[in-house]
Amino acid sequence: MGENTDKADLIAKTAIVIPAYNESARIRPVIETLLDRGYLVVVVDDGSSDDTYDVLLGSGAIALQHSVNLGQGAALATALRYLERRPGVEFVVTFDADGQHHPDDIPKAVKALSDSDAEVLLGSRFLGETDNMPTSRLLLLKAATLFTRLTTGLKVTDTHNGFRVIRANQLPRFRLRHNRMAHASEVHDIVKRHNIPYIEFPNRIRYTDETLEKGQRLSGAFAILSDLAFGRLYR
Amino acid sequence: MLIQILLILTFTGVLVFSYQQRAYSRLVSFILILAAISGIIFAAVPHLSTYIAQGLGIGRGVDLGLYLYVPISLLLILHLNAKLRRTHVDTTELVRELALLRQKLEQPSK
Repeated sequence: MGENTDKADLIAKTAIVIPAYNESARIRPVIETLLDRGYLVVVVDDGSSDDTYDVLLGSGAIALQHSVNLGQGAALATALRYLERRPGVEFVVTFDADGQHHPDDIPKAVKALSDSDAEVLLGSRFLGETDNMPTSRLLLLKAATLFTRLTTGLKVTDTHNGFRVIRANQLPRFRLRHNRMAHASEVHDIVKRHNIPYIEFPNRIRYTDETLEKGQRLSGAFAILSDLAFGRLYR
Repeated sequence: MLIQILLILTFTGVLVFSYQQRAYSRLVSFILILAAISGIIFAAVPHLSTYIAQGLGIGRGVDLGLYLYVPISLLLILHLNAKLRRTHVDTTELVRELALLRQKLEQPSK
């Protein structure tokens, strides 16, 4: 009974944020699953050219819409800004729209963060499980993780993993400036810069043809490096 | 002679335009005004650039012009890039506030 009460209490304090771009065909089941479990769901349509926003409006989630496409980092930042102003939320989970993250990981991750002294939980597919990860993606992610370890000094085992949990009191520190994919590296930079205690969590990631189509490529890695370099130049 | 007139007219146009733009960026405006005035003088008195170039140990006036053109261009490109990024940050903030405001208006019960 006590355990169930704790679980319900954590669910009531948790918000899930999902950036979405042209996800009208895939996002509805993701949202429905999360709403059925009792979570507050905030989705940012990042200027989609399809009818993602219409799907969101009828879904029961809180729907925010960028009038132009800015990038995944900007969409996340908008959702985090919204939650900064919303009372009652203690844990914020960042979650992908395409169904590659597993909803069952959310309560475990929130509980793990809640039971710890950490302020941030970072998902790690290399501590958890991955289905169908191509070798090229594995090598790219390993290289990106090495880069993150070298540039931030954080001993993380994964990077560019969209699954994270942040305590809401830390949100003012997570005002992301990188609009595009470099925001994932910026998260680590913020953790390092503010010396924020963090834990890693073994999360599951399921790769499909569709998720791979929208995922990171080598050209994307160069764009991220360019964004990071210019971002530091103009900080 | 004809090229001198064309260059002087072009630099005069740049000078007027740069002066008009001073409200947007004093630094860029100042650099462009200096460059335009130098251009007018060097076009009107071609030997002057060679005289200055030789004084600086460069040799030809044309080379002096080229050496000045490269760093000025790079400085302007860097400055414009910074301005562009600033504009992009402002656009992002506007789009974000608009999204938050729309949510409040269109979904007041949530």
